[in-house]
Order: sequence, then structure tokens, then C-alpha cells
Amino acid sequence: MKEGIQLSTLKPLLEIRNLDVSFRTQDSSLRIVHGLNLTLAQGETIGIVGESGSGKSVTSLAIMGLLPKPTGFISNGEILLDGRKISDLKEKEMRELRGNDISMIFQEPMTSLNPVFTIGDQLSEPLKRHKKMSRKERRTRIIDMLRTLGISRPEKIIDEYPHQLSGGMRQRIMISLAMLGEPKLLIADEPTTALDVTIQAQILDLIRTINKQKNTSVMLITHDLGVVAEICDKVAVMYAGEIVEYTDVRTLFDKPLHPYTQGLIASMPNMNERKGELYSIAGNVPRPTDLPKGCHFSTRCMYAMDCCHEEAPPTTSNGCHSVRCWLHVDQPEGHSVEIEEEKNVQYAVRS
Amino acid sequence: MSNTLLEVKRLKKHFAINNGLFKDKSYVKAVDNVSFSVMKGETFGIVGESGCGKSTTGRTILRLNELTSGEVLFDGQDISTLSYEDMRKARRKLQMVFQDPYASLNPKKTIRQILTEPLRVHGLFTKKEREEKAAEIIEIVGLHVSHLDRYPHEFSGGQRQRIGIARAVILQPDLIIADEPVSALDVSIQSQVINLLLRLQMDFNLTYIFISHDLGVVKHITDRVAVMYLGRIVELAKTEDLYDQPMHPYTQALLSAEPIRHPDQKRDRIILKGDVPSPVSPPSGCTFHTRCVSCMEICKTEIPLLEIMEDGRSVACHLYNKM
Amino acid sequence: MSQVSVEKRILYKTNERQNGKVVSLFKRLVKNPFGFLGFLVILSVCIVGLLAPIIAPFNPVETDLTKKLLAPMTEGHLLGTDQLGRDILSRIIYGTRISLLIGVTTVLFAGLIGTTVGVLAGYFRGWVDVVLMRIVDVQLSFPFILLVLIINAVLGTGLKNIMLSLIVVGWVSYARVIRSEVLAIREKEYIHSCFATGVPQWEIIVKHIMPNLFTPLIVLASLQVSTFIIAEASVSFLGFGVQPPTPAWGNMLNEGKNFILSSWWLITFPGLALVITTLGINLFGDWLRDELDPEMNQNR
Repeated sequence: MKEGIQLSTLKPLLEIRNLDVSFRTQDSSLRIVHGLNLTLAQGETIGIVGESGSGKSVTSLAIMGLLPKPTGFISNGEILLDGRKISDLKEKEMRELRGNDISMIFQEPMTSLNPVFTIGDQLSEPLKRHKKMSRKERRTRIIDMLRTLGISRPEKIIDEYPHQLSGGMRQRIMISLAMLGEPKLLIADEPTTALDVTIQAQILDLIRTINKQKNTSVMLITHDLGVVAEICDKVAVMYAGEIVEYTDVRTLFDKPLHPYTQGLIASMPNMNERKGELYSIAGNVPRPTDLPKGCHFSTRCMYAMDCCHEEAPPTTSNGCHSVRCWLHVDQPEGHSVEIEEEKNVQYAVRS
Repeated sequence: MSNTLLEVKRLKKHFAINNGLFKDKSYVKAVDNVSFSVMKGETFGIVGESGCGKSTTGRTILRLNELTSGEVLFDGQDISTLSYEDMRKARRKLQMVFQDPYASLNPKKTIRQILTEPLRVHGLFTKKEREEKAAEIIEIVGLHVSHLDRYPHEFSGGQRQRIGIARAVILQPDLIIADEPVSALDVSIQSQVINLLLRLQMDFNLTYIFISHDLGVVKHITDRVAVMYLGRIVELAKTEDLYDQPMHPYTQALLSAEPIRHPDQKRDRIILKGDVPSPVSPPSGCTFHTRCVSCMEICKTEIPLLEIMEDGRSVACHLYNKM
Repeated sequence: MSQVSVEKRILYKTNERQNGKVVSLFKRLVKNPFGFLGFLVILSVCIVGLLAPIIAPFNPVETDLTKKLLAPMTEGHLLGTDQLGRDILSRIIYGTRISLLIGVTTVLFAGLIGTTVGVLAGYFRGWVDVVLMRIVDVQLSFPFILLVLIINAVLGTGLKNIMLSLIVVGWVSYARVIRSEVLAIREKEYIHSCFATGVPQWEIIVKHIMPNLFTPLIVLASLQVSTFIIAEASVSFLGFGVQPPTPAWGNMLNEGKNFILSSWWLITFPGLALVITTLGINLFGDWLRDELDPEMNQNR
């Protein structure tokens, strides 16, 4: 199996090798994530892009050791943090890690905060658990953190309850909570999806600042390519449980290789003429129970060839750009011509 | 005048909030003095952030909420005062597409029942003809006749939204109010549904009010746009004009906050301070003054009126007040 | 190829769901020990009630003072006899009929009234809601037994009146549950979309809201049956309910209480019948609630 590609020479902080995550169903198990390889260096920001059911959130839960027990489990591969294998840690050891080395923020800041405790109470939690501090020290520490994250009047906010705050402010509190343990890795699962664009801009700005100032690595999970373009160094595009393309962010936007990525970028409304027909990817996202044989994207792909419906493509890489598609697998001479012809025919039929 | 399909005049919708037994009620001015008109065949966009009143405006026009005051003239007739039964009949020409395709289809009905119901309740056609119409429309929206006997949960979000659109279009209405019709869909499905809406508009001569927070989608699909902030329209202009040269400081900030398309694209971003104030106690004067970069003294006390500029757009801002 | 197989699978699933709904529900019932136990109890109680004349070894109302207060297992009286020499087993078997009759009819009528009130209050809201719910509040502020006693005192005792009083007492819980249910359903987007389409109000109520009330009604009713059986027994125990010599578990307890120290079986066996029946119904009702509750049952 191929190793994850190395996009930078920095020492890797997070390494995911050949990860499979499965869920138990009534009589069998369902593989949600398959063959995932990723590396993330200290201080880097990676975007994981995908639609619902692509497995992007499940991946983040697997890293955090938060897969719903007992149904979800890592069925293959390993996750390393700072060279230490964390995919088979016991719950107690994992708890030590969470909020300390890895922190996570979620999409819905409303439900992630407990409504009956003050902001201060909730923010003291990780400090109580991981650091020895007096009550007063904790309070100053929290106020400092809130202030560095650009929250005005932190002395007041600390004694307020979640419902007294707006959505954007709650997300900031969640980020403060995540940052109090001074994690090396911050996982943000759709952190701005529930927020308005003007607030989204603020929050992305904040994540960018944290990344720069504290050299925290960030893994940003999103469905929005625009958000990725804003703050990520590199991107992994996921489709139906697999990474289909993995490269740095500029290459992805300039020279997307996988037909799915090409489709996603082409269908952004800004890329199309006003009022004209938008470029669109045909068909629907397959359910994990009904994945097509061969390449998972084959049923929606306009370049699909015979082999795509038969066999899953391998991941090919030139060192800094990897893609999982038969179009980019080096074939013997005669073969590739055949593919080219096939492609033209396909195209003619469509247009 | 004959070209105007819908005219909304000084529409207000205030929701009362009980503050407890012995306190006065307070009011959320969800929609406050909103006026605009929609021409036949155009797509009129309403954009704004959550809580700005854009959805409430749409629902109030259709009287899914009762309006507090104002007039809604549809084809010259004031529909805001119609009785339940008369309004019910008028709905044949005024349809709605909802945001959440998972919640807006009754899970216990088959697609056939869902699609024939609008025709049935308006007493159109015989049972057989209705079924034929349903079969016809389901093909038009890109599904298959064999789907008619299935239940909503057997479909994906995009397919359900197609069904929701089919139900609105089957009555051949004049106006469709689409409330965030693609926001709940996956990215690769959004463009399919937008294409469908554009095609149906051509084929059936539809007029749309397109309500969305997604600036990119609104830019693509609309002819004119109203930008709302805290229950009021702050700017109303042709789509090209608005996106090329936004005038209201809020519109400027909103457009600049939109995510970029390419990592190399640079943008002078106006990052707004703070959050949208609570609509229960909106700021005095111009409701945007608390976050505005070019706030003046007058903004804190006087409400700016929506005034028409030289190029035909309307802006509610003291910066452009002609005095 | 793959498209066809997917289509087939979906069709197959659809058929399976529609034809096999009851079957698969039953399969899941068998897997749940408590629910299944409850089901068996209910089943046997129903059979006993239906077949009472065939099963009962003696005439339940025939007195024979020569055989009074016989201990269990003597002279063919499996559970003994009471102070008038009537066979206790036979009386319990016939008592089943009264309990079932009362449980089922009262729940049916109380449910009908309560649902109507709940739907009206929840759908129309406003002053309709205020008026109806204040009536419910007043009703609930009376102690339950007091209300039953008043009704029985005014209208006289007897099976009909006890049923009537239980209905009067029982409808409020339906009204409450159904009202809150309707309030929630009314705000569902598909109901809004019915308004937007122009569906007439009565049709929205009957065709779109009512079908959603089936589940809460079934669950509430299954739990109410046991409550009403106990209520009947309590009222009969106080001497207001079913009048002797008609055998009912409640009045058997009432009569037996005078002999509690000398002849324990008079009160023990009817009591046991009551406990087992209500326990069975509750177990089944709990299972049914969990099974039909979509929150508990994620994989629809």
C-alpha cells in the first residue's frame, strides 16, 4: 500500500496510515472510511472537503477516539500523533490526550455548550483536568484566553450563560475551550456552517490567527471549497469514504485532476455565467449501503470507462499531488490511446 | 404598472414575546416597513443574514404568518385581507418551495399523493388527469414515473427538493417564493437544483422570489436583489449593479465577507465588528450603526429612508442622503 | 447493471416493509423478554375472559353456605371458596370480563373525547385552546377518587355509571398529550407546505395531522387500560363500583378484606390477578412505546 504523500519537509505531527473505519450494522459491518492516508506537519492547515456521507466527519471522530461505541470502530490502519500510535489507546489514555494534545470544535456551538453552567465553569473544565491551578489562576487564564481571541469584555462574559450569547460568540467560546489546553492539533468540524457569512469571516480570521501565532496545526472539515481557499495549506477531497485527491491548495484550484474535484470547482456559481446553466455533476451521492462497484464515483463520472465500473482505482502520486482515478494511472502505450478515444466518445454523447 | 405581478407595501410583521405575567409584552420587529414590487417573469432575490427577516417576509406574503400591517397586492388584488377560504383559492397562483426537503414532505404520503394533492384541493381535473399530470411533472423535474409510489424517505435530499419543486409547479402558478431552496443540499446537488429552477422558469413563465443567504447563488439566479438587515431593506438594486458596486456599508461588508474562489485571490475584507443585534431591542436610528465603519452622529438618532439613486437603485443610508 | 440491481433492492425493501410491518414488529417483540411476557399475559387474560363459561369450573354466583371459606385445593375448589361458598377461581375468571370490558371501553371513549379536544385546542390555539385547557385544569384539580365518588353518588352505582365516571376522569390525559403533540406537528414544515398549497383546514387536520397521532394514542391507551382496571378495582373496593353478586376483582377484594386474618385466599388471589394483569399490560405498553418512538428507534 502506498504511503501518504509528503507535501512538506516538516516533521509530521499527525500521520494517518491506511485507515479504515467501519460501523456495525444489525448483521454485518459497513465500511464508511477506506484506505485513508494523510500527514499533517506542525503549524500546517489541512482542509478535508466532502459532501454528506463522504466520511469526513467520521475521520475526525476516529482521530479524537470519539467514534460512537460500540458501533463504530477502526477496522484497519493506524493514527500516529507525534510518532505515537493513538488509534489503539485505551479510553482513559485517550481522555488524557483530548483537550490537551488534540482539541475539537463542532458545527453547532449551541448544543456543544451546557446551558446550565456559566461560560467560566465550562472553560475551567480542561484546566481542572489537565493542569494544576488555583481557582483564581484559572480565572485569569480564561480571561486572558478570551481576550487573545478577540472577545470584548471577557470579565463579564465569563459569568454569563450560553443562551445569553450569540451564535458567533458561542463558537468563539468553543474555540477558547479548545485552545485552553494549548493543543498541538485543532480539529474544526464545519466550524462556520451554522454561521452567517460576516461571522464566518470573523471566525476564519480567528482560526488563521491561532494557526499563525501559536503554530497550532489545524484540520478543517468542510463542504465549502471557498472556506478551504481561505485558510488551508493543503486539501484532501473525500468522496464516499475515500480520499480522491490530495494536494496543496493552489494546485487543487489550478490543476484539479479528479473529475469530482473538477466538477466541484466548476459548479461554484461564481465560476459560471450569470443566469446560464451551471455546470453540475449528475446523479446523487450514493449511500454507504449502495456504493457502486469499482470506483465509487463511476456512476456520476462523465469520463467513466469500463475499468472504472469494474475495479477500484489505485492512488497514484507524483510526490506532491495524489489522485485516485483510472484516468491518471500510467498504462501501457496502446491502452492509454484506447482510454483517450473512449473519453472522446463519452464526451460526444454528453454534449 | 401592468407588468407588476406583486407589490408589497409597508409590510410589517411583529411577533409578540411574553415576558411573564406582570410585564409588558415586547415585540420582535421581524419585518419592519418593507416595500418592494416584483415584475412578471423576473427573479427577485432577498438576501441577508439569519434573523434579518428575509424568510419571514416570504412567509408573510403567503400568509403563513398573519401580517401585522401593510398591503400585499398580487395582480392588483390585496391578498392581505382575504378570508381563509378566498386566500386558499388564491394560493393556486402563489406557491412556495421550502428550505428543508426532509421536513417539507409528509413522510406518510406517497409521491403520487403529494403531487396530486394540490390539483385535488383546487378542484382541478379528474382523478385520472391528475395522475397523468403528476406523471408528467415528475419527469419534468428529472425523476421517473416509477418513483410515484414511493415514500419521501426513499429519496435523497436533492431528489426530495425536486419533488417539492414539482408540487409547487404542478399548479402552474404565476409566482413561486423559494425560501433557501438549495441551502440544505450538498454542493454537487445545489447546481442541479438551480439549473432545474432556471429551466422551469423558462418553460412555465414563472416569476420567482428567491430568498437566500448564499450570495453566490443569488448573484447567479436573480435579476434584482433586496438586501435586508434587521427587518428592513437597506439596499435594492439590479443584481449586476449591486455586486459590481455595493453602496450601503452593510452590503459592502456582506459581499466582502463572501469566501474567495481561489487561494490567490486577495480581497479587501471589511470584517464587521460584533454580531447582529437582537431584533427585540434593535439599535436606535439606523439599525446598522453599531457595526458600521462609516457611522456618523445622525445615524444614531435618525432612521434613514430607502431613497432612489440616479442609477435607479434604492439605498437606505445617511451617507447618500441628498438633504 | 448496477442501476437495475439498486432499483430491485429498493423495490424489494418497499415490499418487505409494507407486507411485513406487523410480522417484523412481532419478531422484535419475541426478542424482547419483558415485552413478550407482557404480551403473553394480555393474550391469556383475553382468552380467559372470552372463554369464561367454558373454563370456569363452577357457577361464580352460586352460593353454597355449607362450603363457605374452604381453603384452596379442597373439594375441587382450586383457590378455595369465599364466605358464601362461591368458587374463587370461577369468580376471578368471570371478573376478568368486567375488568377487560371496563378497561377497553373506557379507554376507547375517553380517548375519543380527549383526542377531539386535544386536536381542536392544538390546531386552533388562541382562545379555543385557552378555554379547553382551563376545563382540563379544573378537571385535574379534583382528586380522582373524589370525582368518581361524586358521580357515583349522584347517578347511582352500577357498571354503566362506573364506566361513565372513569371516562369523565380519563379523557383529560388524552387531551393534554394530544394537544401538545398537535402543537408540535402543526409547526412541521410539511404542514406549512399544506397551507401554502391551499389544502382546506379540515383536510389538513384529518389527512395530515391525525395519522401522526396514531403512535402516541396507541401507547397512551395501552398504559391507560391498566390504570382504569385498577381504578375500577379501587372504586369497587370502596363499594361504589360493580355491585355484588356480579364478580369483579375490586368487589372481591372489598368483601374479602373482612376475612383477611382468617382466610387469606379471599383477598390474595383476586389481588394477584389484578397485579399480574396490570403488570403485563404495563410491560407490553412500555415495550410498545420504545418500539414506536422514533427517537429510540433510529433506523426507521
